[in-house]
This record gives sequence, structure tokens and C-alpha cells, in this order.
Amino acid sequence: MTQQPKSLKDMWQQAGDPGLPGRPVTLDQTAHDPRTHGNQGPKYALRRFFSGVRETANLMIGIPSYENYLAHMANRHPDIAPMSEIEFFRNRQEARYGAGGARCC
Amino acid sequence: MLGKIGWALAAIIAAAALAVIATQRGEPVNALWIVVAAVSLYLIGYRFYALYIAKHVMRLDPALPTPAVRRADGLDYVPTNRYVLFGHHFAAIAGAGPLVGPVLAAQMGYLPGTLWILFGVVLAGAVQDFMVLFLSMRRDGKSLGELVRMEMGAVAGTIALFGAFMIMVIILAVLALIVVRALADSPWGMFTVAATIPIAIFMGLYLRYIRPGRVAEISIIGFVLLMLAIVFGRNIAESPVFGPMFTFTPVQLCWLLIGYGGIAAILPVWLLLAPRDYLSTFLKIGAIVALAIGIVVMAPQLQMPALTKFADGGGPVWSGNLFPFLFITIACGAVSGFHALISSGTTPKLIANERDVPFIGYGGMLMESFVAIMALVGASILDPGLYFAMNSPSALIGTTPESAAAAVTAMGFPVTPEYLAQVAKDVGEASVISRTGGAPTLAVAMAEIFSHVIGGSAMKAFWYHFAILFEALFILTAVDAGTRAGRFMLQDLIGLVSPQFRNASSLVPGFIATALCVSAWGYFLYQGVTDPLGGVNTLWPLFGIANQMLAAVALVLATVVLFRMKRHRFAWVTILPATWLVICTVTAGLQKVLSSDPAVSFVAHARKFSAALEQGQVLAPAKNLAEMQRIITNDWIDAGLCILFLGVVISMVIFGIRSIISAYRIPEPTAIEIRGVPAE
Repeated sequence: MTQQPKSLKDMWQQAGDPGLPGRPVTLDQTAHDPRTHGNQGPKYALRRFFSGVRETANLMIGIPSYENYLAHMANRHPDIAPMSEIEFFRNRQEARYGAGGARCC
Repeated sequence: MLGKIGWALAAIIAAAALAVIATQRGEPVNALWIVVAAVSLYLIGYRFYALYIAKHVMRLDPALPTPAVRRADGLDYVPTNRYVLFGHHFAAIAGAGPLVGPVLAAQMGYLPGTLWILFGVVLAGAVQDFMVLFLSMRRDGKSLGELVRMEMGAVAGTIALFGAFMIMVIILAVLALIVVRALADSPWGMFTVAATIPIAIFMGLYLRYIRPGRVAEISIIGFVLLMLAIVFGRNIAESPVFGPMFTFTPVQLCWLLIGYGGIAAILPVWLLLAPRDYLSTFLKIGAIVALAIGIVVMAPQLQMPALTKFADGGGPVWSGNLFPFLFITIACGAVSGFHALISSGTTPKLIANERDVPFIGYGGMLMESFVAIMALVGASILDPGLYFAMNSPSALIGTTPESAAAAVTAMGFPVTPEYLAQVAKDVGEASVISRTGGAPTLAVAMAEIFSHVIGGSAMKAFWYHFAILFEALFILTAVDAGTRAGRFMLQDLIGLVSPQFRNASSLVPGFIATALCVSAWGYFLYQGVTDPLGGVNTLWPLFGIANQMLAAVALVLATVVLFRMKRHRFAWVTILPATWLVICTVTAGLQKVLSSDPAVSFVAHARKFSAALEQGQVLAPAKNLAEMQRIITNDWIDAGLCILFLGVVISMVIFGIRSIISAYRIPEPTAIEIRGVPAE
């Protein structure tokens, strides 16, 4: 347990992640870090914005990020071969409409 | 300091805008006042109430790993950026409910609905979504049923699961009924909606075999095909050969939908359900954004009075008084019990950090409420005469422009038959009389708004059918996905008695559960379609009661957990809305059973018809003795359902109070949170 945050701002700052749109928090942060790209201009911001839109649209229909899945498998389970992109897509498609796939009225 | 001035300013703006919409009489009010009041109230509610709950009631801890972090698997448990997750959560909670409820509520004028949508969401609806999301996140993303079982015991868990299944049945029936009312005798609408089936199957095959996983490109292709279907729908409707092929009576449509629901729910998901879900999700989000922009650009005047004379009850659209029935009717836009199922579904497994919970849980529901506000604005910018002509049952106003204009003018909302005929012509329909269910009304309003921005009156018919398609598309997706979800719930429930029924992969239990689920909602759909009062009159209040009841159950659960966490000092946050919802649902349920007014009570209605039947009389709207008998049977079944819902909510309250008392007596916290070790 850490100290209780005093305000919203503290809460936001405590974990250090600015949580900007288009930045998947689990991805290797350097991949999205402007410093490693050497490009902080509007082009970078625009690209980040569109990758955020794409990710949002995909997650709206129940498909999480494949890159993130690969990163997870590489980090945690280097001994297991990850699913291919097509297998991953089908796996998530089935999961969305299985048990507990409630949708609202 | 600047921040404080800003918030004080927001409060003043909210108060001023509310004062304008509440006190302006005679002069039409601009819809933007409602939008401004809503946005500033949401901001204040979020900044002060949501963060108060986050800080003091839940004590969210950014350092505590969430299930997405502890159990990360790249599939179900994925720490997700908060904006991306907000989109996911909002897309899952937004549906037809917040669009239809406020349109129906407009019969009392725009003011009561606006006030309940705004204050209801801040104090009740958003709190419920937020609390359930928090509870589920602290318990590995478990579902509502499992949460109730964990914190309140197995019996309470089973009752909650059963309640959720019954709600599903009523939701599916009422949603399907809205589609039937919107597409009956409308070959243009029917053609475009029917066209979504081959388009979706084409998309499904493309995604499966041609270019797997390329959702973006095929969705764009699908969207273009849909727009073509709307454009050419007019030619189909006007063609002497094809027009009649796509013209169906409500009863025919009812059987088509039941057959469709049964088949669609057992087809592989990739073929029809998934691709249509993609189309409908993107179209839904796009149409909601476009509607918001359209309202701001057009800045329409509200034609509906702030309060109509039906605020005292006796309205043609739905029966009953403001209390409790307004709160039942608005449903999803202010409080939606169904969100408890979503907030304990996929969303809690995707939260990257606890501090994201207010934004997603509370903020997501504020957005849903804004959709409801837009729907209410839509219904209120129409001529009130047109609104009542579209939403009153044909048993009251007849089916011709002349009879409808005369009847609605007699209600006190003057309108001419020429105007009603002209509106129908503008939107490319044979008639707009008695198009109940809310969807067509909203479609006329959206056509009004969109054609003001793009295309002028020449485009009205296109925009009307676009709006109908947008609503029908996601309703059909909900019917399909809901039948599947209902099937699994049913398998779970029957599995309590005979465990082999639970096997999700075995075919026979799946078929039986699907058939049972389709027949359950199909029965209520058929009853609604053949109901001479239009069916919405009967089914929507049942849906509202069920939905608000589930919200009450979720809030009781949240209260129990607060007591078990020894945070009872703050339990008023959930006790307040839970009490209000229990009062509303129990009063409404009792009135539906016990009231002496046959327009409100199923039992009084059944008695009235039974008495006539004994005399051998046939009461309108029945045409013969067999129909009399059917009306009586339906009444008793609906009354039984009400009693069942009352039983669920009252037993959950009793279980809740028992759990609260025993938790209060134990000096240390008893809530069961799962913090555990990281998986693997």
C-alpha cells in the first residue's frame, strides 16, 4: 500500500504514466517514446493519434492489440510459440460472442 | 485558484442553463440550453462527486496491481490505455435503450425527462456503473452473478442470475418489437435492413477466407454497400415488382424475426454476427457523433412544451403518472441495470491502473446519458402534433392522416392532415401515423437535423432511412448476441439442476437452450405485435421495471460490500440511489398489479375483459371472443412477470439487509477482494 493520494492530480502523477491517447500502456514504452524516434513534431503526434483511433476501433469490436499480445508472449512466455495474427483474430472473435458476452439494450 | 474560478463558472453556467429551460414559458427554448446544462452538470458531477467516491469511498490505489496487470495474458487481461478503454466500454453500454426511453418520456414535455436524465445519472446511474466496475476489478473481473454469490451467498447469486435472464428476455422482445414497428409496411426500410444480411455474410467470408483480420478495409466496403442499399431502397420500394416483396405486416415481421433470431444464434459467429456487429458498432458511434455535431450546428428550437398535460398521467404513448412511470420509462439514459453486466464483463479485465476507473465507469455512463439527452432533444424539436400522431396507438387515433389529425388536435396539439401526409412524403414512407416504439420518431428528428446540415430537404428521405437502418442494425445485433448470451445464462441456470447441461460445446443443450430463449422472447414479441394498443405500451414499462430493478440489485450489492469493507460511513452513496430505485420499481410493479385503472394495471385490465367475456361481450380492441381470451391470458402472464420481478427485488433487498447487519457486527472487514499473486 502506498500513501493515499491527496488529490486527483497526485493520483494521476503517482504511477508516472501520462496516459496519453494512442499510447498503449503495456507496450515497450521506448517504442512510442518520441526520444527514441527522434521526432517530436506534429507528424509524430498525428501518427500517435491515428494509432490510438485504430486501437480504439479494434477494441470496440473486441479485438485487442496483436503487437501487445506478441510483446507479452515474448516477455513472459518466450518458450511458447505465439498465435499467428489470423489465429489471434479468430480466437478473439470467438471469445467475444461466447458465454458472458453481454451487450447492452 | 484559476481552477476554482473555472469550476465556480461551470456551476453558474449549469444553474443558468437549467433556469432557462425550467422557467421559459410560451417562448420556444433553444435546444443548446439543454446541451449546455448537461455538459456543465456532467463536468461538475465528474470533478466533484466521482472523484469524491474514488478518493474516500473506494480509496482507489494506483499502486495496487489491477487484474489486467496481475493476470496479463494479451487476450482477456490486457492493461489498456484509458482512452482506448473508454471507447470500448462506451461502445458496449450504448444501445437502443437511451435512444428510445427519452423519446417516449417526451409525452410529458421535455422538462421532467431532462431533469431525471441529468440528476439521475450523476447520483444513481453513473454511481452504479462505477461501483460495479470497481467491485469487479477488485475481484479479477468476475461477473455480477459471481460477485453476488461471493459477497451475499449462493441463493442470492442464483436469484440475481435468474433476474438477469428474465430481463434479457424482455429486452430482446421489446427491442425486436421496435424493429417490427419501424419496418412494418415500409418496403424501403425493410429492403435496407434485409440487405445487411448478405452484406454481413460477404464481410464474414472476406474476413475468414480472403483477407483474414482486415477489419478496417472490409468495414469500409460494407459501409459503402449499406449506403448503396439505402439509395437504391427507394427504387425497390417504388418498383411494382419488388415493392410488395418487401412489404410486410407486423405479424409477418414478427415471425421473420423469430426465425431469424433462432437461425442467427446457432450460425458460426464469424459468418453473420461478428461482421454485422462491426458494422453496427462503427455506424452507432459515427451516428452518435454526427448527431451531436448536427444539434450544435443546427441549434434547433424545442417545439414540445416544457410540461404537457400528460404529466398528470393519462397520456396516449404510455400509461401512468409521472411518479413512478417517468423513471421507469427513461431507463437506460439515467440508470441502467444492464450496465452492471457490462461493468463486470470485459472492461474490468482491461483496466491498466485503478485511477482510470472513474473516467471509464462514471465518465462512460455520463456519455450514455448525453446520448439520452440528444434523443430527448430530437423528440422535442418535432411539432408536438406530429410527435403524438407518430406515437399514439392506432386504436386511439385511427390510421388515416384525417383521423389522426383530428384525434391529436382534440388532445390539444393542433396539427393538420396535410402536414402529416407531407412529413410522410418527405421521409419517403407511405404513412407516419402510429409509428410507435420511438425509433421512427427519432429517425424523423435525425432526418430533420442531418438534412439541415447536409443535403437540405431533398436528402430527408435518405437520412430517415439511414437513421432507421442505424437503429435496426444494432438492435438486430443485440437480438442475435442477446439470444446467445441468454442461451449461456439458461444453460448455467439449468446446469444448477442437471450439471451436464452446462457443457457449452455440446450441441444438444445448446440447441435446447437457444430454442427456449427464442421462444421466451418470441412469445412476448408476438404478444406485443398483436396488442391493439401497439405493444410498446405494455412491454416498455415491463422492460423499464426489469432494468431499474437490476440496477437496484447492483446497488444493493455495492452497499453490502461497502459495509463488509467497513466503509459504512460512506454507504449513503449507494443507499440513496438504491432506495430510490427500489421505491420506483416496487411502486410501479405494485401499480401494474394492484391499481384499479385498467390502463395501468394488468390485473384490472384482465378483470374488465373477463367480466365482459362472461356477458359474451367483445370489448374493443378485440374483434372476437378468441381475441378477448388471448388479451386476458396475456394480461395474467404480464402480471405474473411483474410479481416475479417484485419477488426478485424484494428478496435481494432482504438478503442485502441481512448481509449488512452481519457485516456491521463483525469488527474487521469481511469483503473478499482478490489481490493475489501474479498469475504464472
